Amino acid sequence: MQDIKRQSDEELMALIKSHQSHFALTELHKRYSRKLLGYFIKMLNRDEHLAQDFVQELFLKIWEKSQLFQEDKKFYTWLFTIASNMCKTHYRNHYRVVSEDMTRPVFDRNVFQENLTDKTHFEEALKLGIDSLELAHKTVFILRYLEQFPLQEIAEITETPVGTVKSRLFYATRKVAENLKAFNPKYEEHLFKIS
Amino acid sequence: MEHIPVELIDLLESVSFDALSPEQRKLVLKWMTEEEYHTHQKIIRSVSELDYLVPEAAPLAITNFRQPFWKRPVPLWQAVSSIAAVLLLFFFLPRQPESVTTVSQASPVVQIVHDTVVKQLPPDTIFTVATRWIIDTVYSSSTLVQELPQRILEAPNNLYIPLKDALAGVSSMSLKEEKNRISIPEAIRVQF
Repeated sequence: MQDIKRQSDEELMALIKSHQSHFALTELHKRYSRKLLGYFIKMLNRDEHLAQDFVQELFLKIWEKSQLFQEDKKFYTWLFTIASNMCKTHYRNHYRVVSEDMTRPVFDRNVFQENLTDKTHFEEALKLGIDSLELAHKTVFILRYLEQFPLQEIAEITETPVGTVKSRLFYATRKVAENLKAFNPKYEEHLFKIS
Repeated sequence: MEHIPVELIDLLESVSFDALSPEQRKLVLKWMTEEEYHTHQKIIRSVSELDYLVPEAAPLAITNFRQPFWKRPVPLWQAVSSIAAVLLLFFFLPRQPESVTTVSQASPVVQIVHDTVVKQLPPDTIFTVATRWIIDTVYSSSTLVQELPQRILEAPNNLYIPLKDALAGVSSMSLKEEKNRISIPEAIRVQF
């Protein structure tokens, strides 16, 4: 057991592939379940229960499809590739009719009128702005700015060229900025963190 | 959707507007205003510090780790090498020699073999010395051929009816002759 804790992700995957080691899977779950849960919560519009189910499903996929893992690939990237594909499938099946809704501002100015200076409300508006992004933009935005992935790995996860990733990042940021225009600009300096 | 220059996002992530070179500034201002550039940068920094409430993940709920062997995935190379091994064994393993069964027999086996030997000789052959006698049993067989009676339907146009001959031989009985007369009883005769 002590050895398993010291082994790399890729070595653990090799153990799962060759020996069906459930200790290795448990160790991977211990390492990444919370990280994945956070990713799913962000991607699934903060539906925590659904995100928990997705984490379980993802580890079940790893267990059953371990043969698909290529040793020359980074496990962490592979993990998030599966996670992103799961989200894509979910969106395809559940959010077909809401694309029009995504174009409108996600919150009403009046909702925040009274407490515009409240940082919590600003963060909520920011989160709503991210929630409202279309899937392709949301995926790269969350992977880049919330999960801190390098651009190259995002390109691998989303199976798109780096240029496309950058382009999507730009438009995603612009969309979030448009949604935040509801805030009175005079409070902007106070609300944004400016280094 | 327009294709933005890929450098733009690099600049947004790492260079403040004031630190942009004249060329970079020109590129940026082609796509956005200075204010928008600032806003984008502020969003990028703010988002990275957003606090999402992430609870502990539920424990792993896979209960049946041991899959039955027929459900376990088999790597392709293992499957291919197994088939190859079976083929190699089939073709290259030495075959078992054919088994020879020996049966010991205490008493000698006497078997009489009857055969027909036909020897054709040219007519001018002259026998000088008889070297070998061939004793043989000759079986004669006869075949009983029964002719099937000819049926009428199979008969030719000149139909021969055996019944005609049969009828020709039949002689009728004349009641006029005395010997063939039959006396009617008296009672019946009165009624007439």
